[in-house]
Amino acid sequence: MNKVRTGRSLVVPVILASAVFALATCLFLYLATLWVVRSDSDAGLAQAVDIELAALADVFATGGLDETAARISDRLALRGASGDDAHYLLADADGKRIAGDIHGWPMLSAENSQAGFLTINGDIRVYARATQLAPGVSVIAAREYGQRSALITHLNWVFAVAAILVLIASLLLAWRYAARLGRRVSALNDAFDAVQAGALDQPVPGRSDEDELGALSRHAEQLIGRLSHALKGQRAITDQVAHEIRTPLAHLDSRLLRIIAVNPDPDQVAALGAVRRDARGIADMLDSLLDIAASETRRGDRSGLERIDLSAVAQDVVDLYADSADEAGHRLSANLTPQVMIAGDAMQLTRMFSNLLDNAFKYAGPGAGISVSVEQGPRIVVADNGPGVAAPLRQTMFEPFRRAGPGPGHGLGLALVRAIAERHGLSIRYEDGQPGAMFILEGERS
Amino acid sequence: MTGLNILYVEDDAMLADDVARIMASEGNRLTWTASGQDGLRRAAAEPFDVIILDRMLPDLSGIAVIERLRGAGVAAPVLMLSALGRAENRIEGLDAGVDDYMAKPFEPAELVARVRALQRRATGHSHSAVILFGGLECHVKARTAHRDGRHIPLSPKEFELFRYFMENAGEVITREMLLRNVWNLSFDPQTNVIDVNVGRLRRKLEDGFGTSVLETIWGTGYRLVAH
Repeated sequence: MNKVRTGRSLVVPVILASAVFALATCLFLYLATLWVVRSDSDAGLAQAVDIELAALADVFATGGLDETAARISDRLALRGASGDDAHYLLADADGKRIAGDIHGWPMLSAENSQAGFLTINGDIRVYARATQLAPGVSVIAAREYGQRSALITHLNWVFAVAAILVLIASLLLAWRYAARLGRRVSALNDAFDAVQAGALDQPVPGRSDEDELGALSRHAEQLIGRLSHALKGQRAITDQVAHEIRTPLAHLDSRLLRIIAVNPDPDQVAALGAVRRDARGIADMLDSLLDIAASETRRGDRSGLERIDLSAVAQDVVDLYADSADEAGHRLSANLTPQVMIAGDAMQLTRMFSNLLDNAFKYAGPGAGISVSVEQGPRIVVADNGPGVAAPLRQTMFEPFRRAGPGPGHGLGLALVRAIAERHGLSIRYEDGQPGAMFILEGERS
Repeated sequence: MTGLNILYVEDDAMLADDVARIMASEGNRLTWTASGQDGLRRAAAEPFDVIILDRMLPDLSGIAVIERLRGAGVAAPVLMLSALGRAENRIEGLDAGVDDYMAKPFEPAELVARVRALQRRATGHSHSAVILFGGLECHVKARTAHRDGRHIPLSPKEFELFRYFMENAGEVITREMLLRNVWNLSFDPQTNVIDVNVGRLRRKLEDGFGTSVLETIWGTGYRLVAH
């Protein structure tokens, strides 16, 4: 199974990106709002201060200095009640206060009607404008902007809460979307796992969806369909070939048996028996070739493989061959780490060991030591101390029809060993045992 | 032993003729049909001792036939006789419910031996706790062997082999039957492992007794005989 670690899932960046996007959006909106609030409040302050000054200028023009001073005092007196946060200073040419609550003339030029943000009376932050009512008479009107600070604090809170809510909402939405996406991709992966396990006829999930994953599902289904078709075709042709060759061989055998039944000549009967064995040999060779083809076709296909004890399989084969080894004068030994497990087909693996031992029995020579070892990895070594394989043969020995010498067999044993090994994810190689042959099979890293 | 009533489903007339003659020579009665559908119909209509079934029939695959037979509750032992003879093919057949599987071309004696073994297994003569044959005793539970009252020490595999011979005493046992039933192998190793294992068992059963009990039938297999 090709499982994806949670941290590596494609949905993680989706969720992270949506959270970052939500936070960035909130930050942008906050900054924009702050800017608008500030500009707006600055404009409001300036307007309020300018209206005050215009009103004071009117009073001065109509009522003179005393009236203006009185009006400022009235305003200051009323300030607490109206919630007003205005401050004033009416001063003479030397900057000496005539009326108002600003203690000293700040750094504002009355001649130029200068305005600005400044601090008065030590710690009150205001926006103020100065102007000259008449030569030697200047006035300052100021407004605190503490209200704006309160507004901004308020704004900060609102945006902080909003940002958290938006973040949670976006995470939830992204999670839902990502989970759905994840489920669909997982369903596709499961479908491929099922194909690996041999289920070639099951529909691929999501093939009716109209998005990209739907297209991917349809592509997958088409490819699996083609694979299934090819495998079925291969299987059908394999069966057909076997049938079309074995049936005439059976007829041939039948005719030979009919002749043998009525033939009294023992020499002819023996010769006809040899013909029958030759015909049988053709059928056996055909089966071996088809077995090799079937194993090669199913390389990497895990269907039909079960978790089995490779050491136990090897032990059974060694037990089976023990008496034959005694009889042939071979010293057969086994060095098997217990419970080396493999996803495998027990019969095929038995055959793999059996073919390797057949090979050793055939070529190692009388009195040879033959050993079988299985260890974790898995790593299998079948070795003997016979003459080994001649150097020119080593390159091609795993190909069909390569034989080391005369004797029975079609030179398919090692080809089948390799095909079975590869079907089980094992690589096979030959090494010179100095002396003798060493066949080493090792699990390939998947 | 009275003859067996055998159904043979096979579209190849020449092979059908051969099998009919082989079975008749052993005193059996063979009904031949060339199609899977007809085979199904006959198997359902009449009790047969053994059914021999081809695999690649023109109308219905032998695998489908056996599945339908078993589905319909026909319990007669079935031997699949097929041109598909690879280990994989055998396993498919056995998985589908056939009791034995043989590849064409076949040895007539092997077919006879296996049909008889199937019939014996189906009629259940061989499931007692102690099997006696001639002077031989096989204690199935204790897993011990005796001849003329004398204990013969056997390895676990040798005992399995001995038990199989005892269960089929007096009958021809082929190498392939031993491979499949004792060693559970669906292929034939190139090395003479079966002959050697049987040879070792034979020595244990015969050494010191003077008479042979396990005879070799050349080209076919072995037979446990009583003296």
